[in-house]
Amino acid sequence: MRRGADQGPKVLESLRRSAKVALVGRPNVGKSAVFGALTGTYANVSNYPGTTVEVFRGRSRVGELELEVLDTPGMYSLMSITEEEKVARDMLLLESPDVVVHVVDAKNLELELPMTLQLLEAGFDLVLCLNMMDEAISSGVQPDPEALSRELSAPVVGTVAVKGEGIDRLKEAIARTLEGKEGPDRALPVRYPEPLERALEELERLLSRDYHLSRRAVGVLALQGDPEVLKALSLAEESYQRVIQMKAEVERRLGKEVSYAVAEALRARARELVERVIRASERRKRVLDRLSDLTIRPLTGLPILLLVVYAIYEVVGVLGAQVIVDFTEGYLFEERINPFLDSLFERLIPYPVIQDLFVHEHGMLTLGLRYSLGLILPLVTVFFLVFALLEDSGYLPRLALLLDRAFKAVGLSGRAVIPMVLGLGCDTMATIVTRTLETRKERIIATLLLSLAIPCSAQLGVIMGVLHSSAKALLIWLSVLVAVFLAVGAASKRLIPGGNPVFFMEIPPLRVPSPRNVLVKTMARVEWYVKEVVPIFLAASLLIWIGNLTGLFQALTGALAYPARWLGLPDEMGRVFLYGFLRRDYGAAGLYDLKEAGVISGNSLVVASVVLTLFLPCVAQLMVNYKERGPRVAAAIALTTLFFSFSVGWTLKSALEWLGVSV
Amino acid sequence: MRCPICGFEFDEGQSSSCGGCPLRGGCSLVRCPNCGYETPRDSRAVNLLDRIFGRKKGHDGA
Repeated sequence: MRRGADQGPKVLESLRRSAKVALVGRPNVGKSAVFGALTGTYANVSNYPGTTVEVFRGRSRVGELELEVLDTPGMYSLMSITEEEKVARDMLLLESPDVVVHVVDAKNLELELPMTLQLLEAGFDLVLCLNMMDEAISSGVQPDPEALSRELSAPVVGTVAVKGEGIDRLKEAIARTLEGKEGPDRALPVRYPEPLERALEELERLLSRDYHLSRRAVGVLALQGDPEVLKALSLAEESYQRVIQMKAEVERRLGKEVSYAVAEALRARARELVERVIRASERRKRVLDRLSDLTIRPLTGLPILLLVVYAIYEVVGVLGAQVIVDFTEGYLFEERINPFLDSLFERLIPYPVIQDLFVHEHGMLTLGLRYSLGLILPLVTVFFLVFALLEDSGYLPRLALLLDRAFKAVGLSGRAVIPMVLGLGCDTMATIVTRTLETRKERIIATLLLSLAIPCSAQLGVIMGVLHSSAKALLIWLSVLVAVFLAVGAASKRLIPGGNPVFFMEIPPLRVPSPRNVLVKTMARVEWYVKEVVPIFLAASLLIWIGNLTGLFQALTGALAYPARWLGLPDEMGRVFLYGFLRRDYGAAGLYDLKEAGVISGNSLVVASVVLTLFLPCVAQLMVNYKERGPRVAAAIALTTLFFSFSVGWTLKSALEWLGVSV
Repeated sequence: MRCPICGFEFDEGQSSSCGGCPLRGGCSLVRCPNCGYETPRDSRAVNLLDRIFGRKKGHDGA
């Protein structure tokens, strides 16, 4: 029975002998453990009609009362996106449970409570189950179920379902709710901004039917554009057109999408509740809270972002490239290790062709190891260090929120910041993570932008090393990348069919990074990089050696020298482009060599850096593009990046000449 | 562990599987079941230092 669901008076609950209870909650909150603890071992498993989603049903007993317990699939909010979420919502609406038990992870109340508020707003007779209370307490968070119960005007029970703790109290709370002894009529669980509240009042008056949810909840879902709710309204309500009109009006007055405003209001209310009901040991966060606000607001957030970018440049481009690489690559490899290896192999192996496999210009040891360990490893290490600091501080989700508006312009949502940021580590892995994006359109755009305009950590480090001597050069390179990102994204948004995504992400607290966490994350990434990069660089050197023997290498680099000449670059860039296709950072390292040898400098260096960054994705990324997006999209992305990189390079060269700019 | 992006607390065992990923099995990353962000699981070098200096493994979100 749902309060406010306009279903008529309650039946005499005390006379009832059986009732239906639905368990809802996010995935991985211990919902199945609660189900098991309530029902024992026996459960009836079946696919929900018309889907492949499994649904569990079991029986439980409280005194004389028999309970039918439904374990719904994981859901994050009443706005359903995935098939599982749709099934969970259908079960809530169509199976008419007498009580809904919202199972939440007690450690993550701020993330969990927005859905609790939605369920209360929808009018369900709700019992909130704070599961995994033991973990919450041991991690320093101590939710107070009684205080939360008072705040929500709904029963709240703490449990440790895997140990069966609190299950009897949960059963009692369910029974009391069924008897109508719990959950008096409550005030609105959440209030939205005024324009939205006024629209909801009008909508509640306009709706003429019952929808298994309170009218307010139907209104909130409709104004957020929930497709199923809108479809139902279009079939049943004469005022449907007015609903559509109201959505546009409210969004114009709010200056943002309704879904965004709803998410903000729910999050703010959840934060307020958490402040009141958690006896947390960490109450020293006033300064960090203020700083957190500054990072999110555009006026202060963008300068902070520029400061962060500048700090990355100082650490990677100056400390990494000028100090550390000068020592590891310039002194250790060039002056000590390589001359020693050259003379050793010349003495040991009498055949120059075999010597070339290991040493000299393209040798596996003198080139492969020099690039991977002498040049790239120090750069990625300092980059990973900065990245781990940002990651552990909680800055990245704030960046997502800050960039949400800009990302919308390119057909993405703030959620896409996750793969984009991961792309700064490795674009190949990040492409796999694009699966988590909401729409197909968003996944294609993110894959394209990752292939085109997001340099991986090693490439980024080396490019910073290449351009570190001129701030102007670095600024031009960065500006071109940002412009390409925005222009290509905006064009893709128009050209690729499909709806635009909605973004909602909870923001964890900003915190002072833990030195140990930063160390572990940095070292773990360095270990992963060494494990991956050294064998690949050795293999690349082997391929180049074979290519040199067969003449294929010369033919390919010769062919790639033509577009290089067209861009006013030296012929040697043909070889660098080929390296870049084998691996992005390998190409960047080749460019570093040319710059150190004095073959390329000034404007040509900036043009070459831009082309190399935008150039074809490396072999590994191409394969993942193919696997994730299919052959047509992967081929289209490869061709686009190939031609686009040279075109942008030519445009940049011409623009610099025309403007008389030299770096 | 705690996801550095969305703050979700989860056990490594809860990490959603990475079905279809070519690096499955040999990958040292843990994926947040809530938002999909990937973060390194552990560092062998740091573990080695821990063993040498006798420090117990922490559980502070790393």
